[in-house]
Amino acid sequence: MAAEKSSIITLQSNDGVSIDVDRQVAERSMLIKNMMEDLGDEAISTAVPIPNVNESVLKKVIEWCEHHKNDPQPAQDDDSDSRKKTTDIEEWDQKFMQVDQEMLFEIILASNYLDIKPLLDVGCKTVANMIKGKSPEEIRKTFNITNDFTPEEEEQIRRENEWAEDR
Amino acid sequence: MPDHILSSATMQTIPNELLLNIFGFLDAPRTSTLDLINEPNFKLTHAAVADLKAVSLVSRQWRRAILPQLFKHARIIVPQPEGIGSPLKKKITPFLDFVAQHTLKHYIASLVLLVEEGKTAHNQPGHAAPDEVATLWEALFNVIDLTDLLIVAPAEILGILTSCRIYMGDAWVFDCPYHYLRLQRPRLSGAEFADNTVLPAQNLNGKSSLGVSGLPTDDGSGISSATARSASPLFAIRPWTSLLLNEGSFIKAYTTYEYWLRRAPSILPGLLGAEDAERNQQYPLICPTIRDMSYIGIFPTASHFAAMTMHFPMLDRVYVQFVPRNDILNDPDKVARVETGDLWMERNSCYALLMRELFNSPPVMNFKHLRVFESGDAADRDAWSMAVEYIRRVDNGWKVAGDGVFERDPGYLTRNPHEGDEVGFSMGGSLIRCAFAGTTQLPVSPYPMYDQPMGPAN
Repeated sequence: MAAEKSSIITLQSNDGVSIDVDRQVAERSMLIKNMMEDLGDEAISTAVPIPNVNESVLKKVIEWCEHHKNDPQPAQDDDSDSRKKTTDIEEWDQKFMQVDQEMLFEIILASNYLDIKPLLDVGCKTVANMIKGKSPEEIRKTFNITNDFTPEEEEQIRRENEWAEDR
Repeated sequence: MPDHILSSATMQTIPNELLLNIFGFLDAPRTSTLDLINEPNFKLTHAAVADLKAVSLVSRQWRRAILPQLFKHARIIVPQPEGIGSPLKKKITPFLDFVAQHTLKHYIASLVLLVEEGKTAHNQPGHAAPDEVATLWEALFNVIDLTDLLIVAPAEILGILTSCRIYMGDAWVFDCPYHYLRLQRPRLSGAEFADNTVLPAQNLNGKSSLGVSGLPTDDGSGISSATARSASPLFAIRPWTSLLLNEGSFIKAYTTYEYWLRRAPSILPGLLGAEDAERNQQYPLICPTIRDMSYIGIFPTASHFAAMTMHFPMLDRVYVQFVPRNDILNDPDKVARVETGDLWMERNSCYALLMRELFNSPPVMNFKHLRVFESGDAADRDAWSMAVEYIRRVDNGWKVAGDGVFERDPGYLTRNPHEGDEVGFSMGGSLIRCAFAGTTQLPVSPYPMYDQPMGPAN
């Protein structure tokens, strides 16, 4: 088993690029980890296709996995609120996430597909921090979202929102 | 090939499930419960920054996604009502319609009902039709099975909403425009929920719940279904387990002549079944399922607080706080013409009333059931040192567990059953924790009051 852990596997991005990666690093992805467990040695000899992720994003995700390869695995069903208590992001991750919006959302989608919860959280926290403290108009501007409310609807929503505590 | 690869990834390509994940990180704790032990404030559900509300105004997709999260903590603000009962119900109905329209009822974890001080003086307690109040609560609880309700209202309106008679004759000498009443209970599972429907109004008159003695019958088991229902529709509507009452500041009353004779506008006497202003015995309105009670007032007079020690409900835990955490004592407007010594004397008298009962041996009345006493105030250092010295000498199971904290091994009570309850209730027990928020040097020490620190020797 120990030898297997340190072995190299090949991932193939959707634009056809093969990337060799340490198995331990690749297994930060629960998708790949489960696949390895199911397929065993067979998977090691052939390239594993990652159909939803292109080369640049896959490299970026691997970079994150490389840095975090020794982190403890998150609990399987840790979907609780405790995980969401904070939007604090550790320094290395903050720097890692200094990318353009397109890459940011690609990382979020890729980490969701590859089932890398801690990376997904870092991505979502980064977006949450971009929303924090902004007005609706500023949020729309930040993410290039079209306002599909009529002024009357906006007014009605403001009235309805009075029925919720300010949060 | 999935769509998002064809076009570049943007916020619009993020599926709803991930959007919810992002919004989850914006989930701030409700502002209203952060400040419940300070002077009541009508704006306690307001915040300078409200990210969830901003999110709800961004687009239709975002609005749909955020609604359940946003309305987890709902509120109804009623500005200056013309009256209580049907005018209030009219204010609540559009909210209930909205909840039904968006099927939000299962998402609502808490509700704050804020009723503003009215301009008119027509809301005398006697003028509120009891049926109207019962109907109001039924309308609300028929739609939302609330487990956490906080009412922010002037004492007089709180009296009406709880069907509690209160004395307003001296209200003008007090400066506490708003009181807080919070009722909580555990969330029930689906199966239990079915049995927990609203009681019909005819069961709420309270008559059937009274024994021959005229006081609620209770076999000591604590919770005894319909026989122990409160006569207050609000208290009867759900089996509440926890109550918090914050009555704000009594400081202004200390500027008046014979302040200790002033009766605060308060639901406390009615709640606990103390005598009313005409010296009539009242039935307690607090329901017997409530086993956890917090009382907060800023320097309440001992004559007011005595209602609590004389008519102590059957509780497992009680929390009290008499000294403000904020800097109200440094506010010249608030303490003008007040002898601050009086404030501390009354604080000390309130604790003397409590300590006498807590450490009575054996404890009497419902104090014999109490297991945890907690205070938000610091204990006086001299009195504390004396108490520490006392328990060091007397082997009664108590130990010092921290600064201002006494604890007793629950096993001690089993080994020494006489300490608990002489009648032998199976659920009975007595104090195992007595905790102050540390110790301090008070401006007026209660030390002389405690010549017998653990109560009379009997």
